[in-house]
Amino acid sequence: MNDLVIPAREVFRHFPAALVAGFYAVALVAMGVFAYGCWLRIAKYRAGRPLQHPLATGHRILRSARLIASHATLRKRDAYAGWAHALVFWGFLALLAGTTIVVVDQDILGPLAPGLQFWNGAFYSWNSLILDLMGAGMLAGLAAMAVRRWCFKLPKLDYARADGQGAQARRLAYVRDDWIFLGGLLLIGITGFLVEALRIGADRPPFELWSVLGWQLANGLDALGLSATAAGTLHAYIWCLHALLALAFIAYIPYSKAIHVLAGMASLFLQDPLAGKRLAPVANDAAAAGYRALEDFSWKELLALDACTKCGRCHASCPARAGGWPLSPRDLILDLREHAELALGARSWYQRSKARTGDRIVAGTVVKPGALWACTSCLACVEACPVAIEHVPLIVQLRRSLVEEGALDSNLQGVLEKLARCGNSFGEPQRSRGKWTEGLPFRIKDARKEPVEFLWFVGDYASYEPSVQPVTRAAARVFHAAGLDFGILYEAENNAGNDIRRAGEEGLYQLLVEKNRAALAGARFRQIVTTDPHSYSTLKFEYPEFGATYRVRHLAEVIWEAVGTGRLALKKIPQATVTYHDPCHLSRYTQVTEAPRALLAALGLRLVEMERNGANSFCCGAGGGRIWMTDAGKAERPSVQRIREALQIPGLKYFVVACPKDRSMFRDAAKSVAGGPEVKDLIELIAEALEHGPVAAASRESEKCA
Amino acid sequence: MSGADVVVVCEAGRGQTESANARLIAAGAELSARWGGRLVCLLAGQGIAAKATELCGYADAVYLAEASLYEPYAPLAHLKAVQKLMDDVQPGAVLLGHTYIGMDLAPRLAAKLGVGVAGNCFGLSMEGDAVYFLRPMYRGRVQAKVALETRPYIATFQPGASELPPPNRTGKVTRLDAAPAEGQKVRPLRTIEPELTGIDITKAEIVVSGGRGIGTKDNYALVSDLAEALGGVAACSRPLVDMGWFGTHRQVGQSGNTVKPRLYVACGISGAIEHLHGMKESGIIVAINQDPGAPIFKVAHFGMVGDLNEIMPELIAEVRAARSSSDTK
Amino acid sequence: MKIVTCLKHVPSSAVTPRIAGNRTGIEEEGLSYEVNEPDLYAIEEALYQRSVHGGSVTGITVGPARAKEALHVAYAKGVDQCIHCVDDKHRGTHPARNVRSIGQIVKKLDCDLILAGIQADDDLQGQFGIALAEFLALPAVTAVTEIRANPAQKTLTVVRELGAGFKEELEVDLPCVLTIQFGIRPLRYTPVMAIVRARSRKIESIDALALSPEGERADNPVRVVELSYPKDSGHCELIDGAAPDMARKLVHKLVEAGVL
Repeated sequence: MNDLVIPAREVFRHFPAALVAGFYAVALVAMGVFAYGCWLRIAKYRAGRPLQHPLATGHRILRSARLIASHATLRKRDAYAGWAHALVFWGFLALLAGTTIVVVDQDILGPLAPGLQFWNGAFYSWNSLILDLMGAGMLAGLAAMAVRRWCFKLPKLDYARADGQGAQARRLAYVRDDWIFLGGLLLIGITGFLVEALRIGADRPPFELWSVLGWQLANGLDALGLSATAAGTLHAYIWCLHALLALAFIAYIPYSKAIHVLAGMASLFLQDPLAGKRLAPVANDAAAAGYRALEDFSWKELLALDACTKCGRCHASCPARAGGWPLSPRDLILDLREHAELALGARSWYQRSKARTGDRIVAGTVVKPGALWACTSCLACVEACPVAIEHVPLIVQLRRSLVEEGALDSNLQGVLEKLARCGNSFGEPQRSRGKWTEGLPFRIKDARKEPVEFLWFVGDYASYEPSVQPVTRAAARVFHAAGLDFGILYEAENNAGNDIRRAGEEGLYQLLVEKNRAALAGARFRQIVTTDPHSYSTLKFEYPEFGATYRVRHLAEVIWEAVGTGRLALKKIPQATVTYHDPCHLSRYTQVTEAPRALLAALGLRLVEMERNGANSFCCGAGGGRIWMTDAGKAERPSVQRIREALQIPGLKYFVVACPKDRSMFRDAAKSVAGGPEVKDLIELIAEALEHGPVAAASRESEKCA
Repeated sequence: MSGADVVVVCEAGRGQTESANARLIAAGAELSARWGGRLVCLLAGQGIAAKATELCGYADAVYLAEASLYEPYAPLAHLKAVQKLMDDVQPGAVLLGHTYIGMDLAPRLAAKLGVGVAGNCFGLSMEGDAVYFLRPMYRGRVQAKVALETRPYIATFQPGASELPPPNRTGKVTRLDAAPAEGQKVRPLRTIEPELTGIDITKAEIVVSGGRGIGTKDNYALVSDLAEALGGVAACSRPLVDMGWFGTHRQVGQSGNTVKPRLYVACGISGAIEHLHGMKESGIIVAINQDPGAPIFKVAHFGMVGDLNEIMPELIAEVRAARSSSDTK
Repeated sequence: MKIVTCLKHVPSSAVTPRIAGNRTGIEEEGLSYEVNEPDLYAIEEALYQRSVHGGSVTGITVGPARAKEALHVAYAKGVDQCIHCVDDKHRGTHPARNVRSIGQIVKKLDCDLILAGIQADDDLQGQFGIALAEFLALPAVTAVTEIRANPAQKTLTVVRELGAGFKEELEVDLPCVLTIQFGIRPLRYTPVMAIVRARSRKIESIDALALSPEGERADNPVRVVELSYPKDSGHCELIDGAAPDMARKLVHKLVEAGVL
């Protein structure tokens, strides 16, 4: 050996030329198989239609890079899995980088520019250290994941179908795929370290102290009685094993769960932050509305199907699944994916659809109507998905094609017909929309006739449902007591259309939008305030596309702003332990979670959160048109499950809601649970406070409102 | 039209609707009296000789076409019988019941004769020489007084309402030869009898009926609960049968059953003409509907405008309370 | 099977039309119209038969210009072809002319089956189907609740209602006219977009007067002398208040009346 030992190593240590040649040959084959598999996948995606809007790639790169690097979506509400995956991810990336360095140095620079070779010296040592540590991290992560899968018995990892259909065999194929992936990576990691240990054990170059783990492992092998020569011989075999495993893994990536590595990152890159909140309209010249067959899907959606790793977060958070309906967002994605595999020609070894034909039609066949109609469009699945799969827009598109065929729940059909006739889901005459205002001690301005600061878009339920009208009147009193200059549209207001759009009746939705747009254009106001979260989100996110762009906020935000700036003083109401149920459309859709909580605190109430709160709130089950549908799920209703969740809070007095549909659903649910809490709307509590205490801190000048 | 006879096509026997006869006879008597002609009755069916004899008390002549080919209703055979009678009698008017038979036979007769029909009439109005028929239009929301410009008059009258006056005539029965219609392009295969379910809502004293306003099948429990609380039977209108919730044995209406209970509670029923046919003679009619303009309120004695999901549970509770307190008396 | 289905554009059943000044007609201005409900059942059945036996469905209506909206609904539901017999003079209210117009159009169509709803919601006569059959010299069966077609033998097996829960099963030769009873099969939903799309489809237009000018002399044999609103029987007592009050008051009244 030289005196000046430069840290480096010979890659094909003592290998006969034939073996080296064989290695390259196998590597080539593996790459070929990998490329072919990727090609099949890309061909599958290309069967989809182009995107409707161009991608703004610039800020996406930064955004997705940050998300992926920080693993924010994975660590959200599951730190264990998040950190374990981060270890695996970064470890794998590091090792991949390491292999790339070798390839560049040895296979490219070696023959072409030997003077530029860098994989030696200090670089080599640091490289070895880092890779050892990262490799160990990867193994630790994998081990943690294995423990999680084997020991934790997590419900979200239970692959049993929500609709009880289909053979178990396919699901076991998924389990096999999972363990092959996990086990494969573990084996690669272990053999990698073994190779290193054997090499170090055989040659003991002093600089390999930098390969900390390898060195210690070599010591271990020594202690087991492995001689240097034996290590040397064994090294070749283990090296080949490691190489084969690694190459096999690479080849296997596009045919298995491992594709999520690429598809997941692509999906995060393509993520639409307004997915589900702003749905795609139907093109005016479209022959039919919605998605019927696979080629109606966009390439982004087909790609996203491959990103799913069956993590089960959507499955676990879905209220329809919890309520025993045959819908699981996970199963939806997997069914579509499997069918796409069959129909569009990609090939995976572990995902095989049971369908006998490669017929591309999916609406109503591959995805059953019962599953599609069960969705409440609460966005829990979209919010929970770590790889940004957008389930709800798919469901709405599939629903649209069912509506095209006229195949609807008969109650829903009746409601849609009432809406088309009267502009509200109750079938009540349009002219009695403002009747709830009768009996108020003051007159509410008609925004069509006089200018107001705030246009209060009241909403259907709040206007017509007798059990909700007292809350609407309370809201009016809050507006009044807070000195806000407000008015309503009276009978010119129609249902905002949020749930109709999500039920798949796009034509009726656009009709309602047009009516509302005209009514709003004919009224004079500065901003819109709502007390109905469903109206709020569609007015905010979807109406601008139809030419109705306004500033929209929830009453809670406006009141909190008034309180926060000292313009309004809230008296405290008698202390009580309360919990707050975030409405889907206020938490996940419009992200208004702070104002209601701040108000509850200002009222002097003791807020104890339920386990599922904020963006993780559990839907009452009324959204997406479900409130108009009659089929029941096999388990307890989501609203009842939620009340039970609330009852775990000792001494709970009030279950506070901020949405008319929530109020109806939970009042009903609380009746069927013994010891059910009293359901109060946030507005009722504020009204109580305002009416029993001092009113505006400052004058009632409407101009002072933000 | 002096001296012109009036033919009334009455119904009797299986599958025919006898409740139209009274009104037909009343209208026919009025008209024939005005014209100074005879009131002639036609009966076509099987095993109805007794009815023919009974009708002799109300008509000047009863023509009886009795043969198996008239049961069930055979349009062309019945038509032929009417035409044969008309050849003999040359009436100024032919009146039929607005029943399944009348609704089919009257237009056929009119088409054959090339005359007009006033269908679904609920009354007759004679002003001077003119004869006007009173009938509904636009789902019963508007009433029309119509004149027939062609002769003979052909009109169908809604069943129910009148009771037969005491017998005041002495007609004779004349048998008509049964003549099968030739060249049958429509061939009967079999008659489907209504299912014997043991439930006969026509015998109940109290009927609580649900309509489209009920909404969902589960919600129908409100109707059955109220029926139970009142000690009556639960029934429904046609839409619920069309949706497959119930069979026709529970249906009140023209295509179902005609009921005349002491108390009829209509929940979420708008009061379509066909339904009213089946219950408007009930003793006391209570209507619960959220539409104040629903036609049911025109025949109801007590009406409650509102959401039946709010009203009915309260009503059930009140009824139970009232009955239990009366039980303890 | 080539099926023709006849529709009528009638005032919406949910509103009470206003009676015109001359009291012999209604105010069409501002009134909303819809497809006659029994005709919707006829369309639904026609489409079902097409899905089973193949062929085509043609929709026909007689009426003024606005009646083309009825054909838009027919197109939206899936009908293949629509014909509008434009009758601006009588506006589709003259029964004999309606029969003659549609009859002459249908004669040239050489169809197997003609369907219509059992009655029109506006005139409530139930005559049209039979009169059309008479005009075309075809057999007719009314109040049909089930159709099983045997196109090969050119017959149909139909079930018709007889009243009082009785039904009859009959065999009918094709071609024939059937009038369809409510509820023959559930009405599917017609999405708004389908109707919007249907508005741009071509409707064949035939002028009623040009079709049968000699019929001009024929007066309507049923002449409306006077229209009026049904008088309230006068005996409906509306009970008001909140639900618990309503219930209490009603029970009180029923007890008083001796019913309870």
